[in-house]
Amino acid sequence: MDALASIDWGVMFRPEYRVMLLQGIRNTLALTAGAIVGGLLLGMVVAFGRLASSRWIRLPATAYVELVRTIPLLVHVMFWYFAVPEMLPDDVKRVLYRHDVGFYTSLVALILYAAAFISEDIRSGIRGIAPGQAEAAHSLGFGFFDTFRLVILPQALRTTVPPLLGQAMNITKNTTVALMVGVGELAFVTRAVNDASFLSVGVYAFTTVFFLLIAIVLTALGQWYQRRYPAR
Amino acid sequence: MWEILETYWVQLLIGYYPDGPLGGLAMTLILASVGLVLALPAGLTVCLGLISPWRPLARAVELFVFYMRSVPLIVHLLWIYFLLPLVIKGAPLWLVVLVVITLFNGAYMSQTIRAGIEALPKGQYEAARSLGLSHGRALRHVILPQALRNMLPSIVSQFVLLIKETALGSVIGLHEMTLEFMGLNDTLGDKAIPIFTLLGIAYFALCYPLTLLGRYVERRFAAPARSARATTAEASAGQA
Amino acid sequence: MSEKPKSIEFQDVSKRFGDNPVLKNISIDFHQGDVVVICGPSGSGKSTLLRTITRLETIDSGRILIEGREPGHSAQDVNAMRQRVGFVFQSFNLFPHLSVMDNICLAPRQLLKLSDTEARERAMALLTRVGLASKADASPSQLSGGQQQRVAIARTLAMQPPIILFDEPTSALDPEMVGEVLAVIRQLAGEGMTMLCVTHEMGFAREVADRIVFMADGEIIEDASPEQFFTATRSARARAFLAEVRHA
Repeated sequence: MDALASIDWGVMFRPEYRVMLLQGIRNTLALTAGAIVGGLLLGMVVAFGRLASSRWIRLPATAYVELVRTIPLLVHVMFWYFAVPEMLPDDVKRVLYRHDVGFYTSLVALILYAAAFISEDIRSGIRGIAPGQAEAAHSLGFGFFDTFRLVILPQALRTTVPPLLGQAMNITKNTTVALMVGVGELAFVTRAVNDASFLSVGVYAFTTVFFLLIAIVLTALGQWYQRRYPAR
Repeated sequence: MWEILETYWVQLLIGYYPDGPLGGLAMTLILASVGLVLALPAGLTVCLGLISPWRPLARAVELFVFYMRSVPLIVHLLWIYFLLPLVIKGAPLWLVVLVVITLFNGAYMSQTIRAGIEALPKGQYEAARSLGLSHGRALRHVILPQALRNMLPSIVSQFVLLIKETALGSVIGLHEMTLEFMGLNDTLGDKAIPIFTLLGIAYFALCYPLTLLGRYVERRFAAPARSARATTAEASAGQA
Repeated sequence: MSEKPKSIEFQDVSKRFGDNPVLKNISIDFHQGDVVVICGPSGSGKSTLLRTITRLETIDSGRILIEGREPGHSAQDVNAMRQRVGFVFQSFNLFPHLSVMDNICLAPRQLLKLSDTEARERAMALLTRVGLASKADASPSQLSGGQQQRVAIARTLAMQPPIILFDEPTSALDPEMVGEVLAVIRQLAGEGMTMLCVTHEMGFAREVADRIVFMADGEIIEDASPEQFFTATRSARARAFLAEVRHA
C-alpha cells in the first residue's frame, strides 16, 4: 500500500528529532529511577506504618494506601501539577515554576502512587512469614529490631523481590502518564514528533520497542532471581 | 467545590449530550462496563489459546500476552488511535478506547482464568465422573461453578482497574470524566484545587465501594486458589 | 462361594507408568457379595488396581469384566458402568460449592432422574445411617474429616451401586476419626454388596473381610481368608509386611 511506503522509518535518526527522542528517553529513565527509589523508601515506611500497633499510625497509613490506589494515576499527576502549586506560598511557587514543574510534580505523583502498591507487596511479604519464626527468634533472646533485621527481613525480601520487579515494570510504564503535563518523556515526544499521521508510526514503533526491551530485561532478571533464590 | 458541582453537574455527569457526544461519568461507567463484558470472553479465548496442546498457537498467544503487558496503555492507545481508522473509516474515539481496553484486559484476564481452572483439585473432576456424570455434566455442575466462584473477586477488581484505565482515554481526546474536569479547569482558570479534588473524590467514590465488594466476595468464597489469584490480580495492580 | 456370580474379573491385566510396571499380568476374580481387603506396601499397585476398574486409569493389556461383561469404551458406556461401581476416595472429594444434601442428591437427580422429594428422602435416610442427619444443610467445609468421608460414602451409596470400591478411605484422617468411618464400612459389609477396600487398617481387615489380597511390586502375592493370612502367612514378603504393620 502507498501508505506503508510513505512511512518514514528513518524519522528517529534525523538530527532534529534525535535530540527530542533522546531527551524523552533521558526523562523517562530519570522519572523511573526517581520513582523506584522514592517508591521503595516511602513504601517501606508505609508498610511498617500499617503493621504498627498504634492506631494513630496504622489508620493514616491505611487511608493513604486505600486512597491512592483507587484514584487513577493520571488524576494524581494532574492534581499535583495543577492544584498543588496553587496551595503553595507565592515565593515557593515562583522558584518551582523556574524549574521544570512538570517533571517534579510528575515525580512526586509517581512516587506516591508507586509507594502505595509497593507497601502492599512488602506488607504481604512480612505477613507471609510464619509467626513461628519470630517466636523462635525471641526464644533465642533476640529483641524486636534484631529479630526483624536477622530473621524476618531476609525472608520477606526473598518473597517480595518478584512482585517488586513487577512494580518496577509498572513504574516504567506509568512514566508515560506524565505525558499529559508535557514533561517531554517518551510518549509525549512521540506525539510531538508526529506531524503527518504516517510520520508517527516510526516513532510509535521506537517507543514500543523501547518498552519491550525493558520488559524483556526485567523478565529475565525475575527469572534469574527465581532460579537463584527459589521460593521454598 | 459545591458551587462547581451545582453549576456543572450535568456536564460532568453526561458531557454535552445530547448536543454533543456523551461524556463525563456516564461515558466512564458505560465504557468500563462494556469493556468488562467484552474482556471476559476475550480473556477466555486467549486462555484457551494459552492452554492449547498445539504448541505454535500457545507460543503465539504467549507472545501476544507478553506484548500487551509490556507496552504502556498510552502507547497501545496511540497505536490503535492511528491504526483503527485505517480499518474502520471514521472510527469514533470511544471505539478506539474500547478496542484497547478489551484487548488489554483480555490479555490479563486470560491469566486469571487459567489460574482459576488449574487451581481446582483434580479429585473434583474424578469424583464427579466416578458418580457416573458425563464430562459435560461434570463441567456444568462441579467444575465451572467452582472456577467461576474462585474468579469472582478477580473480576470485581478487574472492573475497578477498567474504571481507572478509562481515564487515559482523555489522552486521545475522549470525553470521559477526567477530560470533562480538565476542560472545566481550562474554563474556570483559578479553580484547580476544588476541581481536581472533586475529580479524585469522584473516582474514589466509584472505585472504593467496588474494592470493598471485591474483598467481601473474596472472603465469602474464600477459595484455596489464593496464590493463583494473588499473582495475577496484583501483577496488574500497580499500573496507572 | 463359587456358585455366586462374578462381580469383577481381571484377565491378565498389565499396566505401566512410563518405564515403571505397576500391574503385572494380574488375574483375579471377585464374586458377588465378597468383602475383600487389598493390602500391601506403598507402590505395590493396590490403588492403581482399584482405579483401573472404573477406568480412572487405563490398562495397557488384558481385560477387566464387570458383572460378566467388559464395559464398552464410549462415554455413555463408561458413565453407565460408573453408576454401578461406586468409588470412595482417600481425599473424600466432596463438592465444596454444594451443601451436604446437594452433594448426595446431585447424581440421583441428574442421572437416575429422581424427583426432588425422592432424592431428598433417599439422602436423609443415608445420612441417618451414617449418623449425620443433623448436617444435611451444612457445607462440607464445616465438617471434620471423618464426617466428610461419611458423607462421601453416603453420596456413593445414593446411587445404590451393587459394587463399591474404597481407596484408602481412612488414610487421610486423624486417628480419632478412623473408627467412625470404619464403623460405617463395617455396617455395609453385612449387606450383600461387593466391596473392595484398599487399606492399612489390618485390625479392621481381620474382623470384616471375607478375603485378604496382598500385593507387592505389581503382583498378587497372597489371596487367602483372614485366618489363613494372619496366622499361616505363606510368603516371606507378606510376613515382613505384617511385622512392620504391627510395629507401626
